[in-house]
Amino acid sequence: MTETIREQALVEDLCMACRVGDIENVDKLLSMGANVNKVDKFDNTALYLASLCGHEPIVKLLLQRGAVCDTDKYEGARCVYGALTDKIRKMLISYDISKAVDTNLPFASHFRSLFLSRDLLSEDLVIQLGDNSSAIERCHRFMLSARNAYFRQKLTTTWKHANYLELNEEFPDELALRCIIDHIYLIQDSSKFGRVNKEKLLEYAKWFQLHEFASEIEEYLKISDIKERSKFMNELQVKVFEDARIDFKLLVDRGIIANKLEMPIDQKITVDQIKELQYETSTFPDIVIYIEDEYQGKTVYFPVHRSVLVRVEYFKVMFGSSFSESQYFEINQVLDIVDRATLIPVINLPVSSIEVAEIIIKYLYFDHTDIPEEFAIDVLFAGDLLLSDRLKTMAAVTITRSDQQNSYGYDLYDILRAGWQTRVDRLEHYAARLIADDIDKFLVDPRFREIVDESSKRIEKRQETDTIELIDDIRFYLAKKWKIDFDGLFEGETESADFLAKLPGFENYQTDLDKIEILLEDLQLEA
Amino acid sequence: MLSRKSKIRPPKKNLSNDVNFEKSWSILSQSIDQILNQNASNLSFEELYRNSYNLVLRKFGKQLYENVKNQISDHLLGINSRILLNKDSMVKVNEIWESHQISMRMISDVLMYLDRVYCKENHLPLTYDIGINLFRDKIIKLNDNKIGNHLNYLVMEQITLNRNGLITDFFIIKSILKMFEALIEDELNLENGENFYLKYFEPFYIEKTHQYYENISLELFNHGNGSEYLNKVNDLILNEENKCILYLSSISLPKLNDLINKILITSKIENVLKLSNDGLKSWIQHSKQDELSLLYKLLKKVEYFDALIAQINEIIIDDESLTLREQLKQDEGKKSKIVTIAIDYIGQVIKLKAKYDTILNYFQNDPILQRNIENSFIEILNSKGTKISEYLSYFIDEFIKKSKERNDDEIEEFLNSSIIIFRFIKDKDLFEKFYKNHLAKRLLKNSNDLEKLLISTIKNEIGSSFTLKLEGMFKDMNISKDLSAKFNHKNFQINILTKTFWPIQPNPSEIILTPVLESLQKQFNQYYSDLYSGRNLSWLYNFGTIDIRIKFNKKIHELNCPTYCGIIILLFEDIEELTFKQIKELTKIPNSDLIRSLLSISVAPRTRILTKSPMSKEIKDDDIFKFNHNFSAPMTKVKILTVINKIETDQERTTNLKEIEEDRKFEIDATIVRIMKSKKILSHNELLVEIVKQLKRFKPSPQFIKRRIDNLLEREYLKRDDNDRTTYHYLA
Repeated sequence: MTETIREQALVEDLCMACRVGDIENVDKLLSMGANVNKVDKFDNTALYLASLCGHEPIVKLLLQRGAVCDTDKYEGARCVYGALTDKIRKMLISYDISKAVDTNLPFASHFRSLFLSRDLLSEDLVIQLGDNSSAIERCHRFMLSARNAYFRQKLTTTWKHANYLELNEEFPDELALRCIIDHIYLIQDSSKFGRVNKEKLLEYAKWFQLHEFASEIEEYLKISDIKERSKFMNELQVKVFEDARIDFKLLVDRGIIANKLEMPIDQKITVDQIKELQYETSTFPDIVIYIEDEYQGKTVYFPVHRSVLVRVEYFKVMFGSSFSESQYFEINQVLDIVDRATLIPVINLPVSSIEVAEIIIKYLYFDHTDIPEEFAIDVLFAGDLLLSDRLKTMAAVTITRSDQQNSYGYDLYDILRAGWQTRVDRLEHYAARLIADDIDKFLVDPRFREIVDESSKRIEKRQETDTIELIDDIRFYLAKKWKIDFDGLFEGETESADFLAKLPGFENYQTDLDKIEILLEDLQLEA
Repeated sequence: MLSRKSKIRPPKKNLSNDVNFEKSWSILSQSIDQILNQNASNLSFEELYRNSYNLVLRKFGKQLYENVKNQISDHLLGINSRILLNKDSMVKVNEIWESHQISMRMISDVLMYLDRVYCKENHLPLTYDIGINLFRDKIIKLNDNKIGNHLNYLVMEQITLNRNGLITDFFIIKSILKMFEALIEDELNLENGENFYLKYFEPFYIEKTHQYYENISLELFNHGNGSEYLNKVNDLILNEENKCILYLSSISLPKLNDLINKILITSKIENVLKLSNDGLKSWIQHSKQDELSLLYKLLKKVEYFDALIAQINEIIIDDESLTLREQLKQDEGKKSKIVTIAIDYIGQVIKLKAKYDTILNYFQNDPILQRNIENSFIEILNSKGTKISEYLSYFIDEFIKKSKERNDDEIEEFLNSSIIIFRFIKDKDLFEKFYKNHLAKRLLKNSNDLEKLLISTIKNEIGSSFTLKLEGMFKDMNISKDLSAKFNHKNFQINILTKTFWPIQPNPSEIILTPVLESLQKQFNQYYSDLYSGRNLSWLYNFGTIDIRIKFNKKIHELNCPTYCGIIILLFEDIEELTFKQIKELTKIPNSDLIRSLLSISVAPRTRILTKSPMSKEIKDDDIFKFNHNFSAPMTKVKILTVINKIETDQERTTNLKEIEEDRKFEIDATIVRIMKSKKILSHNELLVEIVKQLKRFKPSPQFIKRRIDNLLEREYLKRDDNDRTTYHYLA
């Protein structure tokens, strides 16, 4: 703990030195180990402050020592826009290492944050990394196992019952060992990487059978140019993310889905079955979720991990609250980790089918967002229930992919209603566009009349001046359909009206609008 | 899997409307009840969330919202009826509050979907906030703030007991106050809304605190002991500052500090300082560091120095009347000892200043206080009219004359003190006058490095325009040295003085020199007019000296005497005896100078070169003077000094003053013209302000300036505006 305080104090000092332009102090603090990419208490990085204040030599020094200026990211862009002089700006851009690279993969940043913050106590293993008794890290078995073959092999055999691993004896170089753990947790700390003894790191990487990582380090050592190194590091990071995606895909496929337990719907899982899931695989789950699939008449049990489930708000609140779901876990007070000896709980995942459950699991573990159309509506509602806007959006993207309605049997009215219920605008617009495209067909459909009426009732205590959202949307798409462009025209100007009237599609457009008016009069609605 | 793709399942489960509100609500209601009664650890989040989710999805949001509200409300009303108003109410209410917060957190977790969807769409307070608001309305504020007022009273009672020295559980007070802060008063304006704490507690607290400290400070003041008051007040403030951070909200801290500072310091300090036996006067008299430092510390806290400044000013003036004015009375009594009095007086001032420097040190050398103390000094010193300028000049004169015996430290100290007093002098031109006279005399006798040091110190203080003429005098002396060397007459040395620099006026009457001297004079006149054509030399005999070697009966002596004395003595080279009248005719030396010179060489006891008969101190026309061949002295070199005429010194003083007034007239006139030339039109008051701003050497009275303006109007440098009599125009 005192180490973290010290490190943050160094960062604060570093940032202050960058404000005032004290280059010697910056040099010293960096040599003392201040993390060049951390933010101070005002959320500024050293690089941003130095650029803003126009301390060109400091900017250069920071960049050489591993400060990242990624102009595609907020911090980097901020540096470039804030730079006091053109010279600094040019320098920042010349060091820009990651144009068109998304280093912020959501699943990757989640796994990283597992290691860096401790919102949810889910670690189940302590590793001693250095000789100092405070040089320990709490880790997740499933992470180590999923990401690394060596750990997987050890954790299922020699270390099966261990809570505390003293790796420092076998691997005396603490920094190199930390880099290995960082690598597993998808953390790329360039300042740590810059300082570490690369030969040691290479040795350890080979030992841990991190063959890809080892060859990357070898590659890195061949590059001498600073800029090339930065670029290489960035490319490495992307590679690491992609490798991780494969690792987690394997975890889901072989560790979770392959181990799922299918039972008849009325039969409960036994304690022995739970134990089997808990201990007899390299999945290292800390919770079991089950789905009751009425359609298939089955209940299916998946061994999963709370630290991954908390990616959605629903589980985050569930595990953070004091209801029964958070009561099962025994804490090893000495090591401050979860005690693996306790039987893991079984909780319900409130979704409708096994397939939806698997889609959600894949999404949570490796950002799998390819949602089959036939399950999209179910996933949409699951996302709504689990309070994940991103999942909802992904589902909505699938639903609105086709321009033809009913291609997978969804009723357009149902899609619209689902859009209303889950508050996904994309679906409302999609429905309005399809209706506008085929307006004559819908005008004669009594269910269309029903839904217009429904739309009008969505506003409580409707005033006569209030519009009907659906009708507005349809009018908008009619204009699009007939290529009537209102942009740049002013309402009420006769010239504009005249201009519009001369457009080739105007007559058709007007006809369609009149038809809608007739319908509204019929329904005794004003809009 | 493949088989399923062909028969698409409609999303029936989620889109159906088959939710039974009553059934779902009864599950929720029961669980909420368990939660509110802290009996919820067996409840399943999943089940409750799903129920509330389905209700909201099925448009039962409003009903759910209202039902939850009513249930919490009923629950709290039930609790309220069980709360007793007694000493333990604080602990009891705090317990209820703590568990209510936990319950509300759980309820709002379960109703998360209601919050996110229904509350957001309808702009309603979130479930958690409803719970907090209900706690406010159904517990604290129910029945006209019954419990709230009781808690206010209990908290205040505990705080008062603690102020009186009893041990208090601040944790419970802090918890209660934090609860008050969490109870928002204005629900529609959550961001900057008032809370219960600000609306009900703080005013009550401030009022009670005010009463408490008002009473204490009055009681303390009535002890009549200033030191005690300062120390006690300091303790009270420290105590309160240390204690209140343990329980009070940070919003109230500045208000509280302001309040007690105002009651204990600002409102009382004036009277405390005035306490006669142990107040400011006694602290200053005895230079009491503890009291004065503490006083400053307290006053600095409130940034209120007015009372202190006013009283210090009074004390300084009183102090002056005790020590310095007595000196002045002596001054009036014995005119002869002006030098002694001057030195004494200046010494007193320096001592007094040193004392206040120490006191200022206790006041952390606060610049405001320093300025005010200095102003007080200026006030007292200048209230004595011109004397201070004169005294300082005498003081300096005396010191420099005897400076050879002084060491560096003493010189340093002298320079410092001189400059301090110089700073205090308002009419610096007056000082210049006195100083110049003294300087001239000193320079003509012998020059001293200290002079230049002092001049440069003064220059640093006030700028070069003040010292311009003084520096001219030094320049003259240097040029004269070179000139004498160039003239190259082994027995002749001369000082050429520029008339405007020196305070000496040429003597109008010509005297008759002895032939030797006359030829020398002619020779030099010729030499000088060759060197600088167009310059006139006037000879000032009475500032020079002559060295004469005379063989007396016993021994040869070398006499160093003033020029007049020398001329007289040389008369006796050929003639044995002369009457006063004859000497007067032969030399044409002005009467008073002649008398003085004769007194020096015939009456003064050690330098009787002539004998006078009758031997008396008065000199009449027919008195006979003879050369005294029997003159003897222990040393070969004999220095003859001119007898000083006291009456003349007095006259000199009055002329000085007159001259100064003349000088001032010129200076003011010049200033007025200079100002008007640039501004062309100015009102009377604007002109006054400008004049005072530009005059640095003295502070003329407005009447004096007005007379000068009138004079300039007469002389038609200025004219009054035709419409506005108080405005002047510049006439080219």
